[in-house]
Amino acid sequence: MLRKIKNKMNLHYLVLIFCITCIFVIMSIQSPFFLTWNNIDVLVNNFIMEAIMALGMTMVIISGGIDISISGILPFIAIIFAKLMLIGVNPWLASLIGLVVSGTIGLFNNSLRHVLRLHPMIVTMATQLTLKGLNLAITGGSVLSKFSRSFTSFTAQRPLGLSIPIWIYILLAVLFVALSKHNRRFIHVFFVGGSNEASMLSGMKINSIFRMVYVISAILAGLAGILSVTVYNSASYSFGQGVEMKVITAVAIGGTSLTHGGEGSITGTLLGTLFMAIVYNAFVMSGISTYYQDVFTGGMLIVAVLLSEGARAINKRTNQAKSLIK
Amino acid sequence: MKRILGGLLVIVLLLSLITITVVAEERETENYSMVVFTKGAEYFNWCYAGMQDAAKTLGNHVNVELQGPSDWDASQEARTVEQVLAKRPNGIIISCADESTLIPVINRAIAGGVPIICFDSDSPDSDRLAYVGTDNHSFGAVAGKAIIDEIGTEGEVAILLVPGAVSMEERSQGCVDYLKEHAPNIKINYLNDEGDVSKAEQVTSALLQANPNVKAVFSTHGYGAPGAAAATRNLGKTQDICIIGSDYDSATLELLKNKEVTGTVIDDPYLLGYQAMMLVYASAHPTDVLSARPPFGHVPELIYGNCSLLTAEILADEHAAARYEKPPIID
Repeated sequence: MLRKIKNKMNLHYLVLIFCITCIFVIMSIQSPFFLTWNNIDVLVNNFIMEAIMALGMTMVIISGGIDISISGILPFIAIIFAKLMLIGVNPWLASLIGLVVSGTIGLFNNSLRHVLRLHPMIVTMATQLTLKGLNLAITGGSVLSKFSRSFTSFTAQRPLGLSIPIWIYILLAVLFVALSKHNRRFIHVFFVGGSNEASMLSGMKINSIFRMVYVISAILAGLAGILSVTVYNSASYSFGQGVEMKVITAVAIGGTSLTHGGEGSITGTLLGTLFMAIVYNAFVMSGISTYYQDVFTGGMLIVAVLLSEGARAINKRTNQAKSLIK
Repeated sequence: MKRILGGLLVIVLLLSLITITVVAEERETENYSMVVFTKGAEYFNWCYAGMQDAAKTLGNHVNVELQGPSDWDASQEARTVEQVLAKRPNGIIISCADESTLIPVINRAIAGGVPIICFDSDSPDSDRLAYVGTDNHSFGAVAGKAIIDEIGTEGEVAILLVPGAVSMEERSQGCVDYLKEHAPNIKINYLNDEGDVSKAEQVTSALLQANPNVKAVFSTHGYGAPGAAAATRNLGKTQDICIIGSDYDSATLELLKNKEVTGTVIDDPYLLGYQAMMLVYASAHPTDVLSARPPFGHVPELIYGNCSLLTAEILADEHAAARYEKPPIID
């Protein structure tokens, strides 16, 4: 099963790498500023929050679920983090509290899903709406800012020329790629997503797998919220509007199947997020109306799903043919 | 033969001279960007039309573009400014979704030598060079006067706003101050409609049902009045509730003509865009005049435009109405 997925993913990677290369070449010819260090830096930084959340979302989608509460968690944790700092709590402690709260939200999502036997879409939508309401209630709609100078000067640091969120993302990406290949619990996510019943019969604790993926997804959304505060030196309920769609699209474009659990990869998601980041940057760079940005992204999502389904259908036919020959 | 060659030589020399002159007069292309939130809103299309016309006035060497997210999300707007900066523009004019979130990127741009002018919605704590907008306090006072003219000095008023948006809070305060001074018995209810027309309808409907004393609604932004009008229509209270909006678009003009909205306080978005473009160009071209913010050109820190109340009576005049109708369509 894993080999089939691997072959399918390799084709998907090739298509994605080809598309990314094409956009890179076209944009480099079209704009003298595209292939500059300054723009590459902006390109990566501008999609870094989505990229971080996409790592967690990949695991959720591979497990056969979905988590749309991230667009509520991001501003919620940003607001909590900002509030704590404004009352003088140490930023590291405030970050830790923020991550613990976001992990608890992930636990809550999974508990609701498990106890009420509801589809994850409904559960996480309810959490998202609740948190969005709370965000407004806590802030009264106003923007939290004016943090201490020591905090703003610390967050402005760029070790080796890269921003702190990029360093965090690099660490997370390496960790997730390694875990998804070598960690037993991460590998079990594929099996659980492929078939709940079979996984249960083979002795896997499927609820603990689900718990893990929802907690990871929520913690990464919380981390994105904290990092947003460090980037913008402010926290607002309006942060992260529609971010869940961008994240899900990046994951799907990366080859993780939205229709069938158990299929996908972190490497694909890395490529998917890179593709999205380039597309978003290319629209602004080229001066093409950003009205068409979502049209293009939506179109790419359809293509990604069709590619994924097409490859699945081909595999199915090949298997049928093989069994007939036998 | 010699004469022909001599003639040809003279022609070639003359042509070379003309070419050199033309090349010398050709100016280097300059690129300026307008970054807004809720890109696609008619208000910002008017602003951009003003910017385009200002660019035409300045010459063919000036290129302009409109950028920004379609959502009211300051973080997305800040990212757009970052992307625009990567193109090394000659200047940017920005309407800020909130006053704080864009401060880091505006300050970085200024430090990098790119002039930034805020228009419509300011970020006063940033290093921006100037603000072109409306005195929002006076703007709110115009609404306050219109409310008293309509409902008298008793009753309750609802104010629709997005807390944290400076321009709206100032408009709200201007209205409240005017009401406190001229009609101290009027009670104020603040409603957060998130700058969204359907949310405005929801919160207005809820308040009107819960509180029959509310006689007027003032929306501090362009999307509130159509939402409030939908609420009064659904509740059958169109004739009972005075709605004062802010700014204008096709929907608000139609509601004004139908008398579902009593009036809307307007500034001149076209002129805001025009003036902001002129200022950013001036700040990108320092002169011998000593500048308050070197190395940028000398520009005034604050320019306020006029504001007035637009009503159905004014729109009844075809000549006056033509000024507000047919909004520019921007890609």
